Amino acid sequence: MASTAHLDTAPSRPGRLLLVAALAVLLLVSVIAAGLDDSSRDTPAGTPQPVPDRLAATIAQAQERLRRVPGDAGTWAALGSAYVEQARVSGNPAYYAQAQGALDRSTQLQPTGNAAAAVGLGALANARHDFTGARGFAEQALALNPFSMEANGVLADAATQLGDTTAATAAVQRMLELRPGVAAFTRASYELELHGRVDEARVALERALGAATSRDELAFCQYYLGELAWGGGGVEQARAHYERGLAAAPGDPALLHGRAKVLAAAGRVDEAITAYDRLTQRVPLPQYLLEYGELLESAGRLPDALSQYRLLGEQQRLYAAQGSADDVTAALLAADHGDPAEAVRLAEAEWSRRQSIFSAEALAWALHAAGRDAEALPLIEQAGALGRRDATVDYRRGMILARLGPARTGEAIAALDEALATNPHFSPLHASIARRTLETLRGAG
Amino acid sequence: MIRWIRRLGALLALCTAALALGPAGSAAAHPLGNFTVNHYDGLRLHADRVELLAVVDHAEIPTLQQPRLDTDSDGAISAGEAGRRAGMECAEVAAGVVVTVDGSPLAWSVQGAELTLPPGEAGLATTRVECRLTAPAALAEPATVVITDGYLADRIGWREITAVGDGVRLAGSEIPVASVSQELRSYPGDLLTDPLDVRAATLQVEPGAAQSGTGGGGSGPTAAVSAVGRWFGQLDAWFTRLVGQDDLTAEVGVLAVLLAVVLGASHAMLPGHGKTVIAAYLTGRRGTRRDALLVGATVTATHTASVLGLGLVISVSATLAPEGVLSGLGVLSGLLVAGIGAKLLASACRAWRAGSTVESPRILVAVGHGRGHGHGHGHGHGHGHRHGHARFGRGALVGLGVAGGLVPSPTALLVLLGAIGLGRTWFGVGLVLGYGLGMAATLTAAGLLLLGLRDRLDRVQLSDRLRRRAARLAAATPVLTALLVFVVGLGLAVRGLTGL
Repeated sequence: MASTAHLDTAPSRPGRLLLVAALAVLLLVSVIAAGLDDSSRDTPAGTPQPVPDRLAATIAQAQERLRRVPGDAGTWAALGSAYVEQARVSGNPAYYAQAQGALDRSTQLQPTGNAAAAVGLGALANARHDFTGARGFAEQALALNPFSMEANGVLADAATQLGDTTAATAAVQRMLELRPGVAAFTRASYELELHGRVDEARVALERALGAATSRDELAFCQYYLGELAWGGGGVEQARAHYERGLAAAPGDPALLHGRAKVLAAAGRVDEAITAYDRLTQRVPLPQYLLEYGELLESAGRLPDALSQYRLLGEQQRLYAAQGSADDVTAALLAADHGDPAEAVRLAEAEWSRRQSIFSAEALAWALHAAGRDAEALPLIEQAGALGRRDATVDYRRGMILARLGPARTGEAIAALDEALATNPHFSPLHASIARRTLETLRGAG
Repeated sequence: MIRWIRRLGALLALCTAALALGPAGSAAAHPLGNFTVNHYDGLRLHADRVELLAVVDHAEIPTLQQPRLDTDSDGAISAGEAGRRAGMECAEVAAGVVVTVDGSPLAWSVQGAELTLPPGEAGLATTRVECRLTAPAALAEPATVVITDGYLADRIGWREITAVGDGVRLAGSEIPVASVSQELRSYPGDLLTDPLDVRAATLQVEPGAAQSGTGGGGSGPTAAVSAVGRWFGQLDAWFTRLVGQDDLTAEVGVLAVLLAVVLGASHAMLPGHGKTVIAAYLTGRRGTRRDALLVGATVTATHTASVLGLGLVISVSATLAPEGVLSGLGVLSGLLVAGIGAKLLASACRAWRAGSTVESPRILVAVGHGRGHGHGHGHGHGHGHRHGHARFGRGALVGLGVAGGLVPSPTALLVLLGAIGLGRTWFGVGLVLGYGLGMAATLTAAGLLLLGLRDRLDRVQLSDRLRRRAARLAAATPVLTALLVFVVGLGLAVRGLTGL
């Protein structure tokens, strides 16, 4: 009888047992993989919807877990990293203190072999302009886990700011190999842009946009697409990107800044001033305050401009008292609107800490303000050495060359022309200075 | 224009503002950053009026951004200058903070306005404005009071609302009675709480003599407490006491493992659990003691592997949603049962066509843990009792065992995750193994007990009529039995899929 035979032969069929077990393991693995890939089952299949506040959800989940399992070093590290990101997205610096606390707790619980905490501390150090520290943390994390995309991201950011282009490029390349997503593509785009490869940079950003799944990622990508268009003088394109970004993340300070810049470029000065006013009331970053002051100055409102510069000066003093070292901003402020000697002192301090294209540019400009243009020239050339097309760098090179006598006049005109050709709206104040200088140079020639 | 901050953009620049918040934490630094504007609204509800203490705390940079306080430029801020500014700001606060009683807004009058300049960092001042507002309101009858703070709504900072009733009672309020920041004087540094950002609240006011608050927490994200969360919550105390002890001695370790064995045994004993039912099914197969051991071992091995695997994955990823994995496992378990059901159905149909009549063993249909496991232990499994005959190979037995053990038990998962969190991974693995051993013991014991019971029942003499009826029924049921196994399996899979 068939059934009896079945019964009798069943125990002698280990193959079937193995098959069942193998099937179960296979399914188990795929279920877990599916859970990792997409933990939101609510999303209709095939139509990826932007998740509005995935970051907030991650934070809430980690907080909830840590209330139950307060000794979980890994989740403390993940929470700390999420707080760093939340500080950037929300513009609320209170999250940095939270991040530091959470990461310290993680390190305390697991002092050795804690790669996740090292990554978080690195991101926090980058956020606080401590790029050397950030690189240390990134290297520490990579020694523990060479395949950490996040650690490579921290390393890429730090190395870029420290002027170590080779290391930055290598780190970005590893990111692209490990996980070609938003983080990798946006960084790759910046690398390409710094090397003057604008078209490839745009392609990379478009791929990042394609990989973006949450609203903050969409806004992030649109912002950088806007910045890229803006850098090349594409005001209308930049406007479109900023507005698309704002549609995804209304109130994002970086995108509101983009909108204000575009208004100024379009000649809608009063609206631009209102936009800058609201932006700087809400998020008074040094960069925004300086641009706001220069916009007011270019509109002929010098007393208002001076009060912005004063505020910026007080802010720099505040940061200095706190041990921060944003000497690049301070140096540029002093060079254009204050004491050139002070500018040189600040820029030299920055240069002694890190020889990046950014600190080279600041020192060159400070030396120019102090009348030391011969010393400034090699530095500003170094600032543009990677091949990036940046109107401000070209403008500064032109202004330095213009002071170096008639022999360099031709080069000065070429540099200033180049600046205005790249982005005629690079600064409401300095673009008009560039035009006036060009007239003078041409008149003299 | 400044171009040196591009990709890192706001991220980099913003944070210089946060440097005050460094680990060493300079005492004078504004705890919430130098550019925040922080609000506190303290409501006091009386039967005839609403009083509001509104505090606005401007950090150093917003203080600098305001128009100069020293309007006569004599180098000092006179009481008159401070008073005028306080009055202006309180008028704006009165316009910005809207309180409605049953939909109609109250008209504030400013009773007091005070401005102080607490010292901040780097010799800079901060600005603290306190406004005392009052408005007549008819709260002697039950009413709904809604507060919305729209003053300087776009500024970043701490936002807090409290409410107390004075002569009226507050019911169903989600906001607290007391200020956790002591009215913006001391910001709490709880690492697991987001900076407070409460801008609106709804209060139900009822007449009542005594002042009564509502004592709501009113802070932090109100994330829905998940099912998995409940599991953890239930056993957290037990676990942290035992496994989290700083001095984990050998005695405590052994005690913990023994406790895990007991917990595992009692887990397998819980009613409605598929594992026990599978053990019971043994009797239907005219099972032997070896079969009882086999099923016990299979369920336990699968369960232990499942807990270890899931625990490992969850511990390396805080973003993984355990619910998603668990419901996936529920589906898997259901499909496994359905697959076995389909196979049984095929062989039962063959037997039916062959017209075979065999003495009918009892079959207790087995089902695995449903997904519902994750949602409390009270659910009933859809197992039915059928008498019929079907021939299951050991493959089917093992398959059902796998289905029964696939969805991890919350206790075991908690034990493992907690131990991993505390850096005692091996201890956690030991506890899970102990838990599995306990389960195996219960399941095997249940199987053996049922075997004994069946043998005893077999010895009971049944009447001939009953025996014939049973035989007729038995001839008709194998297909139905197999079908039922199949349908129950599909049902479990669908339940896991839809998250019911």
